[in-house]
Amino acid sequence: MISKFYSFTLFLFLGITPIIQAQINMSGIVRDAETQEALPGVVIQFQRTAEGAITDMDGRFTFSTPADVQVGDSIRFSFLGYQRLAIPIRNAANLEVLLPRNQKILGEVVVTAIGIQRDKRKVGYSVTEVSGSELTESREVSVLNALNSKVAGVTVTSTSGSPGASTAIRIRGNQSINGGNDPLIIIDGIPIDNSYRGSNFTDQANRGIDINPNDIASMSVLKGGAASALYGLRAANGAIVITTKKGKAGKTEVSFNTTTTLDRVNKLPEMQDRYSQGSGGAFIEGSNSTWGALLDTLRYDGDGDYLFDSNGRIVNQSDPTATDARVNAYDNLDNFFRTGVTLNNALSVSGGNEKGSFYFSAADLRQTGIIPLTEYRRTSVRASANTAIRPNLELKFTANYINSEADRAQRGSNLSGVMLGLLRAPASFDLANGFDNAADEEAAYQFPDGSQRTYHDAFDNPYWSVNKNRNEESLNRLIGVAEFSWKPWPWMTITERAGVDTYAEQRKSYWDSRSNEFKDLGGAIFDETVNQKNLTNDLIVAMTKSWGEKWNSSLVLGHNYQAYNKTFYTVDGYDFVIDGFYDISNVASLNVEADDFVDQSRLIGAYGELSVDYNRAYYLTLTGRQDWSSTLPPGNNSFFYPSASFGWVLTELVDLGPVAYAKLRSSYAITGNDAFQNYLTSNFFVSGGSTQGQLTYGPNTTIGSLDLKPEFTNAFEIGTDLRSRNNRLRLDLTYYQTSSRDQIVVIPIANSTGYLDYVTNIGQIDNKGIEILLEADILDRKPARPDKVWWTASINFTRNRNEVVELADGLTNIALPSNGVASTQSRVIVGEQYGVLFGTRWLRNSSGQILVDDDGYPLRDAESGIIGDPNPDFTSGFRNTFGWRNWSLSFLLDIRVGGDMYNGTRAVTRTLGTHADTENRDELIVFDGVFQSTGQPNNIAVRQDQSFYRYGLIGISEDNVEEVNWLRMRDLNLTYSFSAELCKKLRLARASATFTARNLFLITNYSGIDPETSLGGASNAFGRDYFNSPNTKSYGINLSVTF
Amino acid sequence: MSILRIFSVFSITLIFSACDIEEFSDNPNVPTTAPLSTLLPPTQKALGDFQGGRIFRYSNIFAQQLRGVDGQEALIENYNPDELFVGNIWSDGYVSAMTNLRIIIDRADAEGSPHYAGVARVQMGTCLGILADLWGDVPYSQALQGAVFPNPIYDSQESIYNTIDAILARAIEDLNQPSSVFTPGPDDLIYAGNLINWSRAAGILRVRYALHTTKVDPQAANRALELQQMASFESAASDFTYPYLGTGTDVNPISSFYSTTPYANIDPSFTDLLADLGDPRAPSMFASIPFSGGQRKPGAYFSSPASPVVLCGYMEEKFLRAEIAARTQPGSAATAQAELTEAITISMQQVSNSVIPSGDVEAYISERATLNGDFNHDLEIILTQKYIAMFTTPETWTDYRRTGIPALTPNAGGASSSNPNGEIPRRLIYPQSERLRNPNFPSPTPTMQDRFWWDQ
Repeated sequence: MISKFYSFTLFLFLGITPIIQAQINMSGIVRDAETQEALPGVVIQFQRTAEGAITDMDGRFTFSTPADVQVGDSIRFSFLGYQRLAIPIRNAANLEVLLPRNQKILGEVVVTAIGIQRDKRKVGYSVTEVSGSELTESREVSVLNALNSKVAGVTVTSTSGSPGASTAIRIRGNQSINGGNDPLIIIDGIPIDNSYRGSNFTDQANRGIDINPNDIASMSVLKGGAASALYGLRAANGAIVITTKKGKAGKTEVSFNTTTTLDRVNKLPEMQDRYSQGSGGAFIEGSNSTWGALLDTLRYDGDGDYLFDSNGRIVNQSDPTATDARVNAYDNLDNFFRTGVTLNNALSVSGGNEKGSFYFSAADLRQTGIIPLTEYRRTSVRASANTAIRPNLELKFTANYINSEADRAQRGSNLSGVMLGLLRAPASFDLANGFDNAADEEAAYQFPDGSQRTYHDAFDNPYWSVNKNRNEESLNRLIGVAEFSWKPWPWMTITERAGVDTYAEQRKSYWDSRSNEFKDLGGAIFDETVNQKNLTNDLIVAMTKSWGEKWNSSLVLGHNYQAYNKTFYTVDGYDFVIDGFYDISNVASLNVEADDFVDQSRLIGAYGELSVDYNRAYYLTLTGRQDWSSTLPPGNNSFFYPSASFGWVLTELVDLGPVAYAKLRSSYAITGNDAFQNYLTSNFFVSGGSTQGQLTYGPNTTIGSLDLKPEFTNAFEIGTDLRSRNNRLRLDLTYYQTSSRDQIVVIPIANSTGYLDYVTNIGQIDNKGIEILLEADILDRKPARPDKVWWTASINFTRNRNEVVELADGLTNIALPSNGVASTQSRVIVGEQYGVLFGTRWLRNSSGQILVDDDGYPLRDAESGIIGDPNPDFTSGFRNTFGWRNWSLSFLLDIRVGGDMYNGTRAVTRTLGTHADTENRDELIVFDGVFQSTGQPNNIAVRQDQSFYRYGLIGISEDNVEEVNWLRMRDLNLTYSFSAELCKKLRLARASATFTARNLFLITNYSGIDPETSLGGASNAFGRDYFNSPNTKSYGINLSVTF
Repeated sequence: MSILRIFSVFSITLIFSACDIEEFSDNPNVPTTAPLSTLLPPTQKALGDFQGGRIFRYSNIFAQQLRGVDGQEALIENYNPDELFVGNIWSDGYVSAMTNLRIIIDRADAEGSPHYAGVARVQMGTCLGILADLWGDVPYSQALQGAVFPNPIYDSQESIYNTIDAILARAIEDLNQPSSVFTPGPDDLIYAGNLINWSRAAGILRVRYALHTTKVDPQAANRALELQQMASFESAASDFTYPYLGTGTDVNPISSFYSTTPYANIDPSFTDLLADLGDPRAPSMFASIPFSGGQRKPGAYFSSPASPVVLCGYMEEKFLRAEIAARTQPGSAATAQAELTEAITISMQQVSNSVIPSGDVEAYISERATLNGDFNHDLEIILTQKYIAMFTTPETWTDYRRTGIPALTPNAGGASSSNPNGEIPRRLIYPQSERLRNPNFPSPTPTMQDRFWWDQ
């Protein structure tokens, strides 16, 4: 939202003192305040009665008031497209009235596709602008997270609170089954790699995290197909167009800001602390479960030499070796998490003169996580400059170097997982072995002989895991843009822009030989190097032409070339020779697998956009783009897709009274897309590595196809933009429908074919939704008196409904590629929304009643089915900003209603007896159901003990699906801006200090960790929590100064 | 002006580079074909992983030699396996092992490499036999051909059995061919190119599958008798096994299971059986699982990282011969006793690494495994001894289904929609992948109590 609102101005010449009398005559001329042009047809009205006049062809008017004029009466001037103006009655001739245009509405410029800046009124589709300050206010590490809850139609889900974790962004829902559903990110005109290379073991980043939020001037969210049409197929899921800060002519400014943020874990599952490790009500050392004796009945034997507990062995109180020392209940969870610290320092220098400008920034961020020994660091240096070589030839350069590094811990479905080891641990076992900072104390998790000190053989002690199983990532990235802009004629601009986004990423993951995840293989180490290089070239010719005063047109023609190259070098080794030395050189020689993989594609596009507008009221834009993609087979690799959008400014045509500005907009777009992955058109053999020194090969388990064709999405959108007088109330409404057809999908094939899946074009997935943005200046932002409070509020609302209309003949159900727990998957199923949860269920009879066996326990259905839908009913963000003198306070409430989450963490911890739900293990319950044998209602009470959780470790998936609602304070920022006098004394241009808090509170019915989480990271599978790492609550202080 | 000229040349170059995009469609990372010597080794490891992986757990839990206590194994214990996890067995067979075998057979037949074709056929027959004994009707005639038959039909178990015998017979012919363009060598991780051993394995597998049909075919034992005269392993040295290295990714799957998720321990009824018999194998047959409150797992012979997975061996051959003798020479125990004595002796040596004194073995046999010519009595002894000796293989469950020996009591709470009467399952449920993706999937879906052809 552009926030430059100017108060109205009225220039009154001829200062004749008003005299109140029976009738007053007024006359004069009305002019456009800007152009001084005389305005004919302006309506002049006495404020209390209907009497009035109209200006003549020369803008002149004469007006006589009624006889009973009183003090304070006024006359009103109104004219379409202009501000209304009231002036007090006075006796005056030759009055000159200057009517200002609706500046603040007309002047809102938005950045649209390929960086074209456009008056917002001209745009026939929904575009939302987020300013850089709005993004940096809450000091999120990742700019993608900073977008959360701020834009209607945009859903942001962070994987977890782990440093350097990924963030999934969806604009208007999911549509692609195998391809990404993330929007395209454009910085200064070139697409930026935001790829996510997920892992079964750790929370990986998607690469948008490399962007330094401080460099962003504004972000423009292009939501629909019409908005992003010129970007072509890479923007099939919308686009986020980022414009970075540039220097301005004038004095060189130096800005510095520093932030320190403290992170705490914000929500953890409830655990029981009454019962010991063991089974069947008896304590058993080393047992995987916590169905042991009541802690009150257990004692230590006092053997100080006992390795697992310095208090001694745990024995029954009646045991002859029992001492008087009762067994402790340890709060392992509380002991484990630390306070994470984020230090963020950013410096920028900018300036320029009439011939050019520059901007330089350097930023350094260091974050330690709430999980011990997890870290994320990012250093970014950016320089951009532009210079006018000639008056009509401008040159721009930007270079951005980023170094980012992360140290991660194990999570999820992983026997070395930190949360897994932590939440499965019985209260009777002290994971920390009495140490305060156990992660730094080897004796907490390791015995003198080097073996692991853990409560159960198959799960890692989390302190062991954070030390011995690590994932280290280091990345060096360079983003550069060079751009010429030549204006051979005033009506034509030719722009040539070349950009490169290249990085080298190194990952090293290892698991100690005595850690559980790869224990059977003697430990593992995976070294990966990714070299990625995206080259983009755009040649854009933009022309404008006006016919007379009312017709304007513009034509943009462009050519776009994109080259993607990614090379993966991977070396996997197993079986460490020397314990505790984690290097690829330290594995048994036969157990190394190496590969280099080149992933490359080319995309060429030619596009055009024709815009015509008439009389500042009608705006029509037509676009077309032809793409050539190497990911499609010859013959089908070239395709065309058009769009049309129309804007209609009603208030130019009719007076809508209190509505000063009303625009209707509508668009229809077809967007083509190529294959989501390279090399799907052919069949080949793939290496299975080496077995006993023999190289092995087999056919690729996915059957490729030469018949692939492009996929298409049709999008329709209608919306309106309404503004009240004074622009104090603003409403933006959008309804959209999209339908994505012939998707290129890898679909499973019956395994008896010898293959797992095949590639083909199938199906139809529809999305439709409503986006509402309501903004209000409840108390005027520019109060008359400086000590008055101002208050602005904005609410956004998003509701998206999705339907999988069709897949393929005989195929109604596809599993989305997803990591972790196989028993509960994300699926695409005909007639359902995208990504429904599919898993094991209770057995039911035809009328839907749960069937129980003769002992009163519910039965399990051997066939899995749909158990939940993770798509929320709606989400909403509610921002309030208050100001008073030098203070401003702003907070963002985030509301989510509906949508399911599979709580696999609860499932397992209940089965293992550590979950708080198992504290009532002595209580009886009668299941609501009927006997399978007789059909009679169940009346047998069963104890909620171990036998109650009888369906294996992860139980019945259906039993652990929870609907998720939340209300959270996503951020709160209290800022003090130093007064001009103080700044002057300190020789500063500006200075401010901000207290910021994120996730200050979270109210949710979800029983696990913060439900904004995803086991699948930024992948398409969402709504599953299986020992995911928790989220954080943060408090920070920021200090900004500008010299 | 030169800057503009450079810039237009640059742009025009890029515009015309449109022509070459097709060259980026080809995958530069992989070959379009691979030699037989690289296709064979993965099928052999896959075969070991196939039998020693999930099949070991399902079969031996159903045969009450193992007890599932957690995870998937707890579901198997309740005769209520998950259709998704069952699918892993299916894909371990069809995708990991059999696809390559099919390619090897087709290509070797076409290019004149019968030795490769013969080796691949022996393995194919082994896989098919395991699949048919788990599920009954399974796809084969249209299977393993990718997009040619996207929905393979299910062949009847009877026809699969005929196919197995034909494949194995053809394998022996192939292996006997004097010349072959390519011949397996070090890439043959099972026999290192020893074709005679491959023929032996094929011959004994034919005996095994003939004897599997005793319930449905009165001539089964006679057919087996004919077949057994044509082949023998001669000694355990020529056993058909996948020999694991024991390091890295080449680790015995039973060993891997117990080092990560040891959710199946030894069923007490199995230890009771050995205890009742005073079996000298008991101490070496089992080992304890650390920190489990005294639970046990298969012993070192079965569960060491480098333990081989025995797909078919001399000991089994001796049990097969003993049973055939008992069936075909009623009233005379001599042949059967000789074979049985040898079978038990080999088992004792193998399991205990030859530490059981031969005197103990002899004493045990004379006390517990002496046949008297009475068919039922002798069969009970032979199959009980086979049940003990063939622990960790799927044969114990198969033998139980075809003979009812040893008598087993179903686990409590084993009734479910896929196992209606709660009895010991007669077959596996089909995998979810087939239910959802193959329209030729059997309908109505059989339960685990619906008996297939040879189990009638």
